[in-house]
Amino acid sequence: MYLPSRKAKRGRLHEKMNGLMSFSDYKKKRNVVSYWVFIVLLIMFSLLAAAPIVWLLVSSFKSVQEINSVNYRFFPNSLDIRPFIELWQNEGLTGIFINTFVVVIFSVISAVIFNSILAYVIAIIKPAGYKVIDKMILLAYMIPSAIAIYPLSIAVTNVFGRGSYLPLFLILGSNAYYYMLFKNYFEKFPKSLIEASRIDGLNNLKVFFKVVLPLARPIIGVVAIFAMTASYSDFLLPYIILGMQDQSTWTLMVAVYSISNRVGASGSSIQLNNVLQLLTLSIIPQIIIFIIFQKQIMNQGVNSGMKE
Amino acid sequence: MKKILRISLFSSFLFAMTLGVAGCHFFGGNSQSHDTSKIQLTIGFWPEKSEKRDVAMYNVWKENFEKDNPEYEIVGAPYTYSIDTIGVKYETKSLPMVYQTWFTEPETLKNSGYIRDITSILDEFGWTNKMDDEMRETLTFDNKIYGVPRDGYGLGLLLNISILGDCGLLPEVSKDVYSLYNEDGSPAYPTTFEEIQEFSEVIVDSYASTKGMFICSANKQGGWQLSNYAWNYGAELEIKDTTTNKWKANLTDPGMVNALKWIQEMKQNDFLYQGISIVYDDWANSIGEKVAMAVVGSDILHIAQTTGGVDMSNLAFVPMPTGDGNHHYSLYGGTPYVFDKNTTDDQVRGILKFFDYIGRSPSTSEHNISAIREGYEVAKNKNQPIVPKIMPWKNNEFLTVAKQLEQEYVSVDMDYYPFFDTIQDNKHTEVPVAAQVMYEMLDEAIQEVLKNPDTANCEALLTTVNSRFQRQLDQLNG
Amino acid sequence: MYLKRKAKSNEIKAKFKKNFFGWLLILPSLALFVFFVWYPITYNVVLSFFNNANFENFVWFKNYADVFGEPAFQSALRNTFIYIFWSLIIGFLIPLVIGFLLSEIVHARGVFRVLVYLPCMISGIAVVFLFKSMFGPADYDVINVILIRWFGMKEGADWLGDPKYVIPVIVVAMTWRGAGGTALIYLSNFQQIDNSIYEASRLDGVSPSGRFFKLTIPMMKTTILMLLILQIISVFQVFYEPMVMTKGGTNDSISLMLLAYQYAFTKKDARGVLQIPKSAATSVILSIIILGITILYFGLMRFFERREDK
Repeated sequence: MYLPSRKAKRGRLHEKMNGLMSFSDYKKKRNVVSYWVFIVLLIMFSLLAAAPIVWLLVSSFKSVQEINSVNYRFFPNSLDIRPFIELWQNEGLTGIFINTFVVVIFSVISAVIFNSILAYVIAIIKPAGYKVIDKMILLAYMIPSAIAIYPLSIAVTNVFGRGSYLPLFLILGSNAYYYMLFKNYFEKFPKSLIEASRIDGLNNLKVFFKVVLPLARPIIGVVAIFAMTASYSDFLLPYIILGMQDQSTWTLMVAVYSISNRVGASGSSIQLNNVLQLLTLSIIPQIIIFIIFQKQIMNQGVNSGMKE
Repeated sequence: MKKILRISLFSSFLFAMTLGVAGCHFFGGNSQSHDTSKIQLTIGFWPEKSEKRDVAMYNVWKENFEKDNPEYEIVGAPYTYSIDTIGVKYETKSLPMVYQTWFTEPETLKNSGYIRDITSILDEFGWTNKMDDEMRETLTFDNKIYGVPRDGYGLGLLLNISILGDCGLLPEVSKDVYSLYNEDGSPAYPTTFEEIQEFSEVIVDSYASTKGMFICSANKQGGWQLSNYAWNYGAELEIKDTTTNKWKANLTDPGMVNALKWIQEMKQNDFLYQGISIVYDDWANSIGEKVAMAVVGSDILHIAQTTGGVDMSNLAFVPMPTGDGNHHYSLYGGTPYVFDKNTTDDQVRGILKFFDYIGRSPSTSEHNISAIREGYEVAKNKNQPIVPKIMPWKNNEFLTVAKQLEQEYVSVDMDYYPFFDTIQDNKHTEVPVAAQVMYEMLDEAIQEVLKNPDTANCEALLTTVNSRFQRQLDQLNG
Repeated sequence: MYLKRKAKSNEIKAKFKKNFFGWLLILPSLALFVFFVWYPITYNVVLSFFNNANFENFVWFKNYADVFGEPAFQSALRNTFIYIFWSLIIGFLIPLVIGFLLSEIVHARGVFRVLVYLPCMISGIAVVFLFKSMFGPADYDVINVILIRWFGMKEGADWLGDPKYVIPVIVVAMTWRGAGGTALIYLSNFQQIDNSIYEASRLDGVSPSGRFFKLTIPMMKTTILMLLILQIISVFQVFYEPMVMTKGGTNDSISLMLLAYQYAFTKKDARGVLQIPKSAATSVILSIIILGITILYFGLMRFFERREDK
């Protein structure tokens, strides 16, 4: 992050060149006031964005009696970490986190390989009928995948058996959006480059591995990060596949949903503070990933110009 | 040629990468190999791996059973019943042979063709007449029995005696210890719906945020409980015309109207737990401070402590109040074990035999009784409060032994649980047909009342519901 | 002659090779698309014309007619428009405003960017449970506490139980999670606006607000339109939000997607049978609506482009 020195700060408004209002506008007092209104608004938005997360972190230290109390207090009575550890052990979260990371890793591989090959063939090799395929994928892009969840769940169980992880990451190999990202990128490649490497005697496969992929590193990064968050957060298909299996096979989101919904179910039950603790534990990896890849994550959304 | 070879190799590599891992156990789901010479019994109510103590206990039972019955093999296949998953589980033939479901479900499970009837095998074992009559009734459709009850539940009134005592509503015996009875022995707890209103008024006056009563209004649970209130106001909700054999909806019965009006008055006076769409699950988190009274099933009282963090010594469980001064009915049912459609007779036999090793059979055999004891021990070691159960079997030799064991392990003060003294006289099974549909419609009426307590017209609401419900019944009447 | 023929046969050979290798290469990827995308959708379309999940009797449009007659479907359809309304008011404007503000300020921009983006990292299902915990019905649940203590509200509201509030609250939860990402897209587009254009109008003496409405907004037109359409389409994805927040989804908040799910997995008819063909019919209707909006979007884009060309 860019941290300006104190000296530079003072003069910044009067040096501003870009944007709707520049330094010449800020010679007027009225515009300076509106600038500070902007700042206040942004502070407000930032607080609104951060507040629920802070609330969750703080509240997850409360005991169930504190949560069920009719006298609301913001801060918990103690900052005891032991309930987290207990929850972790009771629910077998080590296994659940391992499952999740396995799914995430294979999802990223699958998302990058299958979509990039498809995009490479459609954008560069262009075999007969490539336009039809391109149109059909485009059609799939706008229609949410969950829309046909019943036939999908039946097909998945028939082909892969029950409780299999394979479909969880293979499904990311058929993502219309990742395909489009790759395709747009490949289409911008200079044709001469491909032609030249062909003349050098490289076959299609070698062109892909030796020329296209190394040049596509930025877009691979973008898709990898997308696939990482998508597979970590994915709920419906994992729930349909794993929700009825043994708890030790669950991914984190299946666990968040199933365990949190266990309130009051006969036999086993979960306390409300455990629900908050589970939520806290589930978002920590995401926050860590965000801190590490902050720049890449925030730029990727911009570069690709579209939402997930 | 070479290139073709290379590319095919590469493509097959991609396939191999994906499908190859399927061979690995971790990805392959539940493909386990078994000794095929034995009859396998997959048990859905097997405890989850995380419940280590219970799994250990079940493994001992499995060993004992397999030693005595070498032709069978027990396979644990934990399945927590949920309406989301049952359909897919069935379609993909991945249901265990026996699983536990909710008391509300057997009818729809039977209609969907997911479960099989086990009447002949129950007769063979001599269990049919040992089953609690009402529980058997809820599992019987067209004279066929579709399950085995695990235990029973009845609705009763749960009280937070610390709150009630604190407001002076219960006599104080010694410091902070309150009795449920007046000095003359008459009940000091509310026995009528009117008294609940009186109690609520005192509570709401004494506390800033604590309300009188928790009632449900969503997820079909509002209607479920409201039907019980209506019976206690003297209503009968479904009537079978003896000449035409057709069902008639009777939700405009004065008893039902009065029950709904009672809810309306409670809401008008702000005696009820806040909210419009309230689900049953929330009672455990409310009975500590948010409300002083709630209508709860007797089978899950312990979650007040395990989920809600309320010490059981703060609670009392009394019979349902009456509206007409006469009926104290308690909606009564059982948690059943049901058998997958594709289970063979031999497998059902094996499973019923296994029941004798896990404390679920009506026999007083050594393993059955010691299994019941082990069950209590595990619960005790987990610090789970032990509240009396409504037994699924009614044969005397079983009841005597089981009750004796229960007394030994019960961890609550039975003086505060008069519900269990009277439940056998107050049992009332849920309405005979289309109960779930009726509950859903009644939910809407309750919510309307909660939304507009001052303007809602109970008679009109129920008239609408009644005609809608009649249309549904007509479909069944055919 | 011979050479020519050889050249031609070489050409054919090359073409064949290109097609053959191409198809061979994409076979695995295509298999995935077929299996995960096209097959389930086609299956649903076909199933929607049959009476049960075993494809027993072809019943033409009976499922569609039945579905339109059901209160739950009517609610879901009506709710769709309520969702769209609120998501335009809350979900569409806020990211635009944040994006603009971020592009204008020079102080601590990095910090603001990180903070507003942070919620995007949290998975949807966790956000839903988080908001469900905050928006409890009673006076001692945190949102009500804030409104009562700080904003002088008399009495708390049952945010998720009251049909008046439930959809706006769900949209707030979705916006909280999504706004940061969308704002960054706006930000980059605001930053791409050529400075000289502003400079010129400044010299003409146009005030900042005049510049904003006469220059900035028209230049952002296509971006705004694209994100508007994406916003609307995202409403059709609403599914586990009402499912979690209202314990299964009441008619007040049910969405078409949730209804399709319920028909297939939880909602049984009076005989206790799942209504899978109705689920298929609902999915098809939903797909048609989404396709309609997409076509409308492309039409509008073309219209704008043509007008610019003139």
